[in-house]
Amino acid sequence: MRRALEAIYRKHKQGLFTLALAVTGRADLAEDAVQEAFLHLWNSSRSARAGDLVGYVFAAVRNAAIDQLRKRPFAAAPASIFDGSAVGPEVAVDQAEQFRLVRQAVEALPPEQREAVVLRVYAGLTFRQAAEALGEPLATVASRYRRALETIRAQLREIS
Amino acid sequence: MSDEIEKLLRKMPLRRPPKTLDRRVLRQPAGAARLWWAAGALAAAAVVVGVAIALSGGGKQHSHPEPGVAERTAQPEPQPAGPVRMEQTYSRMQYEGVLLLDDRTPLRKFRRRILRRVLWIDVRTGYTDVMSIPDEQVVLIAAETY
Repeated sequence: MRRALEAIYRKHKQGLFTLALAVTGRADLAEDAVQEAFLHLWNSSRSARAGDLVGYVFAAVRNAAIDQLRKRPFAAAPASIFDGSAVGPEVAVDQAEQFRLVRQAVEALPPEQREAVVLRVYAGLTFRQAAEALGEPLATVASRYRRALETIRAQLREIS
Repeated sequence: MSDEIEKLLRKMPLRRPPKTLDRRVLRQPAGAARLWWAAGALAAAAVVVGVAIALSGGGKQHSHPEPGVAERTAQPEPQPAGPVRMEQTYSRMQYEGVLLLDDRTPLRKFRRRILRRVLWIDVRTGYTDVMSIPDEQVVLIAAETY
């Protein structure tokens, strides 16, 4: 079981961290959340359960992130899941502007829609896995995701 | 249109997980969380054994002398011993993540929950009085940075 969990961690490290960051809004809390989730998973006999282990691991990280936020609430503006430093001066102005607009639109999403986007787009989960991670029915998650894309589209149109 | 938005989203550069994450996740020994409980259980067992030994030690003073010996040596009755004071301490350390001191110095935060039990045992009658004192400590340890 440990091997399976390690494989999931290695494959989904970026997605797991992005999800934790989207929930907590702080990189240090996100890192702690991923570590604590795996500490729990290594020691949990439930990790040997049947079903989709990927969705279960994402659910564990999400729960750990919520716990972190509850233990250490933070008043300052949340950190973005996007890397602003990756848009350097060599990037074309219109591309940098597009980056800014998309970032703004994603950050303006309600948390549950943003999580759906993170799980589908950045973690590459199926709707079924995303539903398991969020503890919601599949149809609800799919509908949130569609609404999120529509909201982003409308935001981009409005901003630009 | 949704496809276009998805493409746009996929192009966005994500904040990378810190390099320390691999070390923190993959080097965790299985069963680490249970170690504290195991240590606590062992400590509790040791204390129980200690109490049992103390009680049995007190009992020796009242043990029946060998037949025949008592008749010849009419020793005075041993003085009743006063209550024996025993102390048990249970503690559990919980890791609560990393704190940044002045936004610069990383510190690992641990919370130690302690339960002190003070027992007064009357060896003669076996009467036991117990007082429990809960306590909590926060321990900060400088974290290694890479």
